[in-house]
Amino acid sequence: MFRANDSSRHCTRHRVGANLNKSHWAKMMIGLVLIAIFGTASTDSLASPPTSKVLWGAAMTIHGLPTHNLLFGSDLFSVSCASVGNCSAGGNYALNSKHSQAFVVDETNGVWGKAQAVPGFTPRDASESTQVYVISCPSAGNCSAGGIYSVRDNNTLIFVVDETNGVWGHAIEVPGSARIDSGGGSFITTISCPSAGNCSAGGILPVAYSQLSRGPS
Amino acid sequence: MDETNGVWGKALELTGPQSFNHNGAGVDSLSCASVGNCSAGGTFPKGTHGEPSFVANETNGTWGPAREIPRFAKLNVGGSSELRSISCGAPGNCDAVGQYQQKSGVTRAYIVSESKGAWGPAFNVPGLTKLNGRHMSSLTTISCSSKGNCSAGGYYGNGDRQIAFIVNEKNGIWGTPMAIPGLVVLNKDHTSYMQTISCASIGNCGASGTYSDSAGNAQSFLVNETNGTWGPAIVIQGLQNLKADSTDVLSISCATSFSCSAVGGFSAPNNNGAVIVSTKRQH
Repeated sequence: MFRANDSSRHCTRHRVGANLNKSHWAKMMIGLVLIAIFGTASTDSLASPPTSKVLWGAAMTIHGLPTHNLLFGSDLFSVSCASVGNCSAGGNYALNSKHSQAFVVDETNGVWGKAQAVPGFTPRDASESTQVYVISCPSAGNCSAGGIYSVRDNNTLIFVVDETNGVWGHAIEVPGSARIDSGGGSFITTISCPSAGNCSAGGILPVAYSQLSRGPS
Repeated sequence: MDETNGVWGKALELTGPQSFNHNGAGVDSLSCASVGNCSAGGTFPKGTHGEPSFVANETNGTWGPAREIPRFAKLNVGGSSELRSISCGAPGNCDAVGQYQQKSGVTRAYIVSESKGAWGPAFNVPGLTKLNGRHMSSLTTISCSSKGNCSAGGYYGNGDRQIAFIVNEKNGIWGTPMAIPGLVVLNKDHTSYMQTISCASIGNCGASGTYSDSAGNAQSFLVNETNGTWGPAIVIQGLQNLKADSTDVLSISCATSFSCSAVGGFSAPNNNGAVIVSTKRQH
């Protein structure tokens, strides 16, 4: 199980691949040593329909991200689509070689806009790292997102931020999440919003917790 | 703290049985079918009861305690488990997936369903034993469009390879797991798995997973289910322009059967960056 102060938690939580390549790969390899190889034939399906009925466009990068020569540029961790052509996504981009900035990007009527730094972090916070990990949009232009920000002593705190009618508000620290006994790390791993302003989010403090909010529908 | 007018309330710690280790336990997945009616799941850290998976329900705005999945210990003889994903098709009707550990130490995928607010026992993926024996498997993601109608994805392996698979639940009955059509052609290095899934309506979902190309690099693929039929694995286009040598789609969301977006990152020799892939508009 992840530890509250394990900084890799948020990465492994979202990246099944990375997870596999580390702990799960290790577990799998141990398991594979233990089990007999029966020469099971490949069970991959060979039947391949000629085409998909759904047409995907080409991969695109996000406008408005800073340009620099750093190896890590940016990443997106979560997307939520409220209706056709109306989605929002969140992630982080590099500010410098050590710090990152949480950002969101909205698609409106099929057009993805520019990356927008999550509003509300103070200059002190902006000099450190902020990242959006989860997002949920119950209706077009109305989303909630959550993430973490790390402070100078390598402690990580969790924040939430709401978008109302297409405008992102300021990020706030989740009330009650800044715990003295947190041992250095809190993470937000999941969020679900059945309607605008009504969400629940979950994550980790020293013990399991849930955070919820109510607002007008 | 009161929860009104879109104001985030205070973080609540889930209560749970004292005999389980709570220190470091976390909610790994959560889903709300309606306002105030959600379910969450996670795993208790290693303790005297091993590492069992738990679920917790919110009913009409009040969170109940975290409880071990009913009769989970009978399945999780090896002791280690992970609840990976939970999705609620209707209030009090959710499904969750993850993996448990057999006595041999090998992990195996499980499904657990909630009906009318009561969680049943975890069970193996029907038909997966026929496909993969008692070898390694896991379910990593699930999405339910309505009560009893879900799709889940994961992977199984037999020692030589790891294969992404999907399994559908229709009207409360789980079907037979299937490997992703066409993926065998792409998965040159024989390592694939499902990462994320989103179902817009019954039988209409989008999903993404990862395979290993001939160079051993991880590449994401996209796959859609239309009217109950899963199409072939689709290679993400346009990566040449980014000079990407690997991709990692982490999240997908489908508003309708033909309208999805997926996001993640790509790796190129000199930089990594965020990437978005969206479906084309249907006319």
